[in-house]
Amino acid sequence: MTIESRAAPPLAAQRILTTIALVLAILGGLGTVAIMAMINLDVIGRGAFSTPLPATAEIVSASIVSIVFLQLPYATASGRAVRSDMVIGRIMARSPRAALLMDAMNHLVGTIMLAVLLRYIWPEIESAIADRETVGLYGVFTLPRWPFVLAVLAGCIMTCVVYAMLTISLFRMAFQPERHT
Amino acid sequence: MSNIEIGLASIAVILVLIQTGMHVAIALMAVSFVGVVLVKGKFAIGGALLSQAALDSVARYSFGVIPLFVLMGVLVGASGLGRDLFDVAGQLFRRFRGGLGIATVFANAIFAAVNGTSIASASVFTKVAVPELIRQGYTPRFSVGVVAGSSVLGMLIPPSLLLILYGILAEVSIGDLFKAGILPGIVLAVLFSVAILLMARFASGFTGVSNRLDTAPIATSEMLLKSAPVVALILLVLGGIYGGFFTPTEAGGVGALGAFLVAQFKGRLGWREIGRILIETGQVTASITFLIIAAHMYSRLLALTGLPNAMTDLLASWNLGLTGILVLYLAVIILLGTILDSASILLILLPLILPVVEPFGINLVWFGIVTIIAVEIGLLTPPLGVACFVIKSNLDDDRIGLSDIFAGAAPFALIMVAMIAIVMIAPWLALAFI
Repeated sequence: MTIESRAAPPLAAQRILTTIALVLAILGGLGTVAIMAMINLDVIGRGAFSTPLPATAEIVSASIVSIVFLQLPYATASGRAVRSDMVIGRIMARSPRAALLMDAMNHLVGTIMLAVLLRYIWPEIESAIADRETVGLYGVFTLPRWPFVLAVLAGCIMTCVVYAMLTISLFRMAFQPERHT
Repeated sequence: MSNIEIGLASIAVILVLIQTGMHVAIALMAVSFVGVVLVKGKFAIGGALLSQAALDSVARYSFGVIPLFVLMGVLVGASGLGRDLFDVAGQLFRRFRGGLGIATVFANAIFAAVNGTSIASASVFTKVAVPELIRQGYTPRFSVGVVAGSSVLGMLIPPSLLLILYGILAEVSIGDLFKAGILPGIVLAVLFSVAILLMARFASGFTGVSNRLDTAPIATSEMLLKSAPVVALILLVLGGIYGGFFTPTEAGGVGALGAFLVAQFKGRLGWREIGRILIETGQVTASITFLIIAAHMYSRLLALTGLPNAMTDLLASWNLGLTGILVLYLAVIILLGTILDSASILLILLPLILPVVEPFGINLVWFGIVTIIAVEIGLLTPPLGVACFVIKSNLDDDRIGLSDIFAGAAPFALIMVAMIAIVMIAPWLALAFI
């Protein structure tokens, strides 16, 4: 978390990407509020009127992945991914350039892994949309699945882009010594 | 390389990558992908593992507990309930020697019952309790130590993100784990309080002497008013789970709504604040859940390499017996706790140890409580002690160094070791409510 705060002044592209990530995160946050509301309606409906909200469990289950992927780009951009920055912090004190390069490499691996993930979930998402898959209980209450998988796709793409953006900016900082003194 | 060697190498590589500062989830993903490709010789199988873990592993109703309890915790934090609790506890224990230290433990224990992370407890009470403790004459070292030590209650007393994580990884009922955490949490809080009483009497050089009892007493009616929202939330969430009215996911949803109403009632929620709460919730949820997705990939790789079976055979050949294996396991956790964060320890160790201990027919809920206490010691031990780091970053006082925080927390870490022994000798502490 200490590394990102030393970042060079952001470029316009970086600001725009962070704003997109923020919008996705807010959508994810609203998704969390929506499942909270559904669960409460379900609990109250069941307890007070013996009529539970149909397909609550199924829709909540399907939403979790979407919510997480919507929130992932911004969490990554704000340096909130779980990590141990103790060693890198010590190297930073001795040689900022070495620490920045090390961190850039770490983010590069992040970019690559998200790209690999994207490559392999793409066909699954495509078929989910093409086959008009649904979420919920068949015959009781269903929603189309495409908004859920599209959210996953958007989050996955943006997380990959954010990792790439951080990689580039860390490499830039590493090779511009006057920027991080 | 044989498959088992790939499995062993994967553990070593992950430990190294995490130390280089690589995001833990990315390290787990990368190693799992490469490992599966090495074992199976096909990229497509590695890819299938990734996509399946990403799309399906968390698509379960029980995973709703994560965003919901995180949301509840963030809302509780925003409502200023931590300060209210600390005020009330300070009043309750003001006549004791070391009273404000005990009050910090007590307030933390109650706060833990409406909040799921030790990190939140540590950051709230650093701001609320540390300045007041120092003002009353306690040493800075003891003041931060009390906050660090008692913050571990946040993860032991339900709701708790670590218990949720354990429940998911070990496929144990999260509701049962929540019920099991209550008594050990209370006992640990009592042990902490007794230790503070004793230290204040016999080691006042360490604790400092409280000499200024100048805080105005709070009227009973105000104390009731201040504690009412917390008590209501605890009754709603834990009462709901314990009484069998709610599943943990439902309790999370109801608790989050309750916390929202409390925050609203206390006038803490402007639009800007609501935005901040949603973002904060999202950041914690995303980082934890992404970690679980990655852990899912990794446990599949380990299963493919056959390492867990080999471990089981190896340990069986050593004839350690259950106690020997447990002691070894707990020692490894405490050791790893010095260099890894709590979640990573669970993610790496559980897929290896569960196949080993399951044949002994042990109760996995009890095993979970023992594991969590051991993992939490790692929050307090240098060089990587996350709770101490959080306190340092929330502290507005440059005179208190990281080493002071570790030193202050040391007595509490030792008490936690004793607590592990207690839960091992008296398993009913964890199993009484189930």
